[in-house]
Amino acid sequence: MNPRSVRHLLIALAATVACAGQLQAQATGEIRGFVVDNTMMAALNDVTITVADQTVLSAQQGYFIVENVPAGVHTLTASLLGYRPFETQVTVTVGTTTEVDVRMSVAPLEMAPIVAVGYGETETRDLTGVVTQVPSEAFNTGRMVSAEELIRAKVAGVQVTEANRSEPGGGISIRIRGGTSVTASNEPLYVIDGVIIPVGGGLSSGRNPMNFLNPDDIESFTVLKDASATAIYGSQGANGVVLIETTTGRRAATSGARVTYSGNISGSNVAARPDVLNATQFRDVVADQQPSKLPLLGSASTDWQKAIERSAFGQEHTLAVGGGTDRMNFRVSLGYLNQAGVVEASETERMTLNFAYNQLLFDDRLSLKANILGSRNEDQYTPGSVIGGASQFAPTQPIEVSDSPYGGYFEWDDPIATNNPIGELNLSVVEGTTWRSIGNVTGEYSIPKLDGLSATARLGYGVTNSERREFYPTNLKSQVDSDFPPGQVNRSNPSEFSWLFDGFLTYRGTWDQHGLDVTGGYAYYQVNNDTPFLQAYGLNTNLLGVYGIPSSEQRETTLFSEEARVASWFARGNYTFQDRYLLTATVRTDGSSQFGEDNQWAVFPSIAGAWRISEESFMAGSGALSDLKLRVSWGKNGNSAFDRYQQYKTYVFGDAFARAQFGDEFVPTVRPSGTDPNIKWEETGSWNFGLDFGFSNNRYWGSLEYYTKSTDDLIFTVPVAQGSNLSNQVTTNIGSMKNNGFEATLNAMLFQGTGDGFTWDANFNFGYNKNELTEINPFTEDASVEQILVGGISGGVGRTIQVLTPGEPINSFYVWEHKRDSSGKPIYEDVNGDGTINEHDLYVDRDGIPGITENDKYAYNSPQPDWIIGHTSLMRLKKFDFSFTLLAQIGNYVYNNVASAYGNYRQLVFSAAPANMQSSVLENGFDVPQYDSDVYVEDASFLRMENIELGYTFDRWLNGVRVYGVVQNAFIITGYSGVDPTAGINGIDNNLYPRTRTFTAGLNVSL
Amino acid sequence: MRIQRIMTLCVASALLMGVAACSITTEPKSTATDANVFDEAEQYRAFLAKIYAGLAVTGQQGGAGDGDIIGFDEGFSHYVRLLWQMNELPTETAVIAWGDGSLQELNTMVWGSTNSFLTGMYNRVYLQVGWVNEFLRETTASKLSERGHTALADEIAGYRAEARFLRALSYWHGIDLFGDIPLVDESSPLGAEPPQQATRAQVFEFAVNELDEIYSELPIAGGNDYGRADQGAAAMLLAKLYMNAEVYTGSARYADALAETQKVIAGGYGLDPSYQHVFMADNHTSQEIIFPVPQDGEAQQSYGGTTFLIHASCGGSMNAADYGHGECWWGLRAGGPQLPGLFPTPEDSPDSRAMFYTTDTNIDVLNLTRFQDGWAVTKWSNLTSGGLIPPQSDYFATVDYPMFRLGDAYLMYAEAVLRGGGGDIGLAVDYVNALRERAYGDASGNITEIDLTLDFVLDERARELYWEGHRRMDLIRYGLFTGGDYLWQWKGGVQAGRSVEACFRLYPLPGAELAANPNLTQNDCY
Repeated sequence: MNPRSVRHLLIALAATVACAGQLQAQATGEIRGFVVDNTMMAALNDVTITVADQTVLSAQQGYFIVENVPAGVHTLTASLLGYRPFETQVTVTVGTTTEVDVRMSVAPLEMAPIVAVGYGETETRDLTGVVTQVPSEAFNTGRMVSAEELIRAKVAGVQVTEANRSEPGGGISIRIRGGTSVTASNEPLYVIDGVIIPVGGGLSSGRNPMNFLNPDDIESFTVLKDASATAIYGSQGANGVVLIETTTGRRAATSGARVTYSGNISGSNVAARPDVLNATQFRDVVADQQPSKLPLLGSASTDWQKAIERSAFGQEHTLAVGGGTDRMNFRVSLGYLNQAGVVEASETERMTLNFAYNQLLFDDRLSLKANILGSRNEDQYTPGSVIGGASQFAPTQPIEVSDSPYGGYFEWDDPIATNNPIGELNLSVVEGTTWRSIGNVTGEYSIPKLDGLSATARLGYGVTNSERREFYPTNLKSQVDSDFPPGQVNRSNPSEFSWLFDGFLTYRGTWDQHGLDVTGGYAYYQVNNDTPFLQAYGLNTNLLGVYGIPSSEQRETTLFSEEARVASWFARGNYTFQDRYLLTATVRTDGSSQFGEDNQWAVFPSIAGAWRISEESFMAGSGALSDLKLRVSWGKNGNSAFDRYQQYKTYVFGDAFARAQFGDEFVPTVRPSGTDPNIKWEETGSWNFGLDFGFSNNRYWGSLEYYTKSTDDLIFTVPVAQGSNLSNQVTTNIGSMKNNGFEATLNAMLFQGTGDGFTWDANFNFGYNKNELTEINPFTEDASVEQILVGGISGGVGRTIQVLTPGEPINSFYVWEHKRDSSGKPIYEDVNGDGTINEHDLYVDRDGIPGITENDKYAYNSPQPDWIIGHTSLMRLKKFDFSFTLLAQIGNYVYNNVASAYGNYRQLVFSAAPANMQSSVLENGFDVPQYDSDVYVEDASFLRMENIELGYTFDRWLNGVRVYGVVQNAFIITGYSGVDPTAGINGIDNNLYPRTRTFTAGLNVSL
Repeated sequence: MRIQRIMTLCVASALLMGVAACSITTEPKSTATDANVFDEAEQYRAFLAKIYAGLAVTGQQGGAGDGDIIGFDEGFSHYVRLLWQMNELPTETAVIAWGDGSLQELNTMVWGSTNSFLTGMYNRVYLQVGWVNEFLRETTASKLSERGHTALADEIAGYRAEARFLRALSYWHGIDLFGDIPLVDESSPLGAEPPQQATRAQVFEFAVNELDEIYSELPIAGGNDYGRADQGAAAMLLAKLYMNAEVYTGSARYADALAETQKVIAGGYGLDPSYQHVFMADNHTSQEIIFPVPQDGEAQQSYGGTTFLIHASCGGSMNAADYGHGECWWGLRAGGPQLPGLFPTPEDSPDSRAMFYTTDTNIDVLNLTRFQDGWAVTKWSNLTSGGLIPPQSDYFATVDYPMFRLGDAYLMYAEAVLRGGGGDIGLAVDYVNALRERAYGDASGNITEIDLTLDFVLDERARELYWEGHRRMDLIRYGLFTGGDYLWQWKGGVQAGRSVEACFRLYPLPGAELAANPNLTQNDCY
């Protein structure tokens, strides 16, 4: 029985009871009251109220009335899924009406009865795949610029990592059960209200494209992890799927409208920055190492890092109106966010305007749903080399000098010297604007006379127009030194337009002990991109800033246009027998423009079964055990998120600066490219074995999972036999990769006080994943040559620090083993006595062939964590609520590029001007950079307090006012020596944005 | 109910609409494909231009952008830059200070098969070969007539001959550097099985035959556009092949070498009155250049070629503007005392070819990564002969790279005579003296027949042609590159220099190539 029929039954039952009561009409009174949400005072309807053997449901505005209650003291209980049970004593006197306030508090970690699964929803008890829902009540709190941050540490096996953690709204990567690809995207597929979002979240002017979502407008995240759950998304599902449901007016379904406001302000400051020498230390080192350069040093003592930092203010406001009747509801919300970064010139601003509308029509047979999300994001960026410049610029120099031609800022007289970061910060402008809207209209029609059969059609769209504007004035040092005429304006205006159509039929039916739920249909998706770019050089004025293009002497423009299409047929069937034997089969056939002509269509099947052991008769009376379900699933998924048009032998036209000279003429060129015309999806086959459990009526519940994922036809751009193709490398399906791991999730309602009593909900999740690249190129048996160097670092041109090689996790660090002295310190001395200290002295000769070469490098750890552990606690006592979220990663390694590039005395001589050093130079004493030393690959395991929140609710004010305070990144425990142990998904710490701590105070008001 | 029927109809037709839109093919919009590019007749010329540009720039966008070589820094991937480094850095004439990737291995002759610079050069060779093969396949008579381009047949016949010259040029570089390599021509279809390894001699024969075949189809020396191949370039390439034939095939071909140099010398070229001018921004006006790789600060921007040479050879207390640009890269300088030592009183030599910057520098290279260890070389300059920075750019060089020039032909003639290739020893002395008179400004440096020995020619080649990408080849021909007979600083990876095994005369085949092509056998040593 689905919940709707339960509800109808209960109403009927209540009516019957009420009628029966009226007959007796003696020595009774009545009870009436309102049911509200304890926190936000929102009226709650459909709450089951039971008192003195009568059961009623609360109606509009939470009103309920129970008549003909015998006089005396009764226990009234109220229950609603997602809320804690409520209980109170009521004294009824004859002939009077007793008023009762029923205040229900949420139970955010309670098992959701129904979850979204893609092209429909299903009852949690019937699930055979791995699906985890995170409701808004369990989201992370504090300053959340990006939607993905809301679920960090909430779901087992899901890693949420920012490329540049503390930059407001910086890009975010999500890995669900480890990455499955190298060349294609590893990001999950995002689906918002049924609308597929382009790879990685779409476009932006430089920050996380998902910043267009206002967290206050999100009702839930649902993460689909195993193949049984993701197979319905076929060639786009291999990295998992994240379904995002936005908030509708459903919860505020009172007659009339309800207005809510939520707002907060925040302050952030720098919690950690790279460790470089101060002016005194720097002067001492110069005196010791390069005394000839002492006369160059100034007398200032400038802390360049502090000079670029600030305390950052932020504010966020959301005003929402929601309401409706029993046949329609709506919600309109207006949001504003402004968050400054702790480094000058970085800031993000967001305005959102969202609309949701649901309507029942034609005897409730047609359910019409519409959602439209619109946003504008305005971003300011810290120019590219400011952060690195602050670590490198000599601390003995002043920020400004009176006679400087560089806008008044001190600069060294050498084109390859580091530039003054404050000059760059104050003179240049980097900013962007992104307009975005996504929306859909979905109609679900219950077909008459065919009970259980419904047809659904959805039309959705996504539009993004992004713009990035950069201005570098003529007097900026790097412009004066540039090989182009000085003064530069860059403008890029990428735009993306997508639309989709889904049409499917759903049948739900039960006979005797059999249950069937079948969905099948067709989906079409198309996305078009335009990527125009304009660069203008040689400005005749700096007055016009980013708009100075008309004053430029020289311009370069380009535009690339692309289109992709996917057409699909899909079907899914769930069969249940005796409510305990469950079988799910899914198949999706995708035709994609990404695939070569021999591989245009692909089939992705999955099958899963589950056994609800707890329903078996032999389990009856097994006491505390309330749920026990064994699951197994298998399926195949694809990944088609790779560059477009790979299957074509393209001829690329050259620009005006890359021509051939024929006599007096410079002739334009066209170049053919090497191609694999049969390129296709990467294919991941996975197994999942799971056990769901619940104790004490699911007061404690959770799951254990074990999975293996093996990816074949992995796309690599690999060297081809020279002479056989038109380029040195060709992109083709060639490699294989494995991920396997296990996960454990436990949700516990540790304390269950009713009313104002103490409650404590806790979630613990553990994910362990092991990634291994098993094969790059099956056509060679020589493993030593089968490696691809990746992971570009700064320092030297084209330098890399990671490797893709079989038998190791992807992006393993690829380094020389530094010899250590007895105290473990890396040696730096002329071991072979040839008069110089170089790699032949410092590193272990691993291949035994004399001399240290590339072949002596070894794969040493990887950026991927072995363990990701999350914990959430949510507590409540009287009007107070308290929560915190902890995140730990174990076994992730980071390459400290700041130390490797700046931690050496070559900083003093690489140009005429001496540059500052990272302080490891004082210990290691390296004269020249040892980029490839394993010294810089550090264990970056950490435990971080993501957020701590304390709130208090004034329930008598208006319809409820809650005030709260949050600290984010309260502390971190790590052995990593650099700025941030979560240095992006690829573990290279290269002038990261300084780590930030944020304090937020806010209030929620319900009118 | 009527409304319900309408609804059902709507849903059904919406479903059909979606299905109807299901053509899932999308064709590239901002690039052409093989299916349509040659619908435009201009694109044959553009394709040929790309094969030439493969020597001159690194990708389809000036400076850097959309590089030709995948998986390697684009600036590093310049054909001439790589070729130059592989022929100069391992010798006594040059060292480089930078620690980029495995670059230092080139200074010290301890390279391995994963060295990305060697891989890059190997890739460049086959990129040229592959493009030429494709060009020849796309310009057959039948393809032209299919597309209605028969009117172009004559013009394209010339293009085809030039393309084959460029293929022979790259094959020469290929066998010179790597030895036995695959031989692929236009008859092998694309993407087929990995090609078989050919011997050095087979590739040599192929190149020689090709050049003989196309010789008459090429314009006479000086008869083609500047920057394009003519008979002078073909004869010079043949001369180069024959001169080193003993190294490549085991059989000497000095008479043939001599004959080809005679053709070159008869080609109407003349020594530039100013030695320095051959390496300056307006060197396209020089009568001496037989086959240049043109470089232009505006139309041919890259981080390789002469842009690399002018910037990388500048550092220390040198003033970049004195060499026609604004930025020193602190990289290249002489590899120790031998190169300066070839000139009398090198710091202020009567031989004007001795162009060194010695202020605050050591003549010895104690530290490879210190720019001031080893004298700086000022031979390459982005100034015009009038002393001006070219209007195109003070960053990207406008100095054409003289891949072949008359001075080289003169010395090859002399060497061929001495090696028994026939010819006239008196003429050989005259040629050498022509170079020396230009260098000394008068006859004070002239030699006589007695002075003209093979060893003298080797030294004279270093004096005349140093830093032009010839040295490794010359030392190998003289048997001095490997072994212990001739040592220089950092030969073999030690400061004093040490004997190096003979097999290092060949670079290893790249590891990536061995992985991709199981038909190949690695060179000895690696």
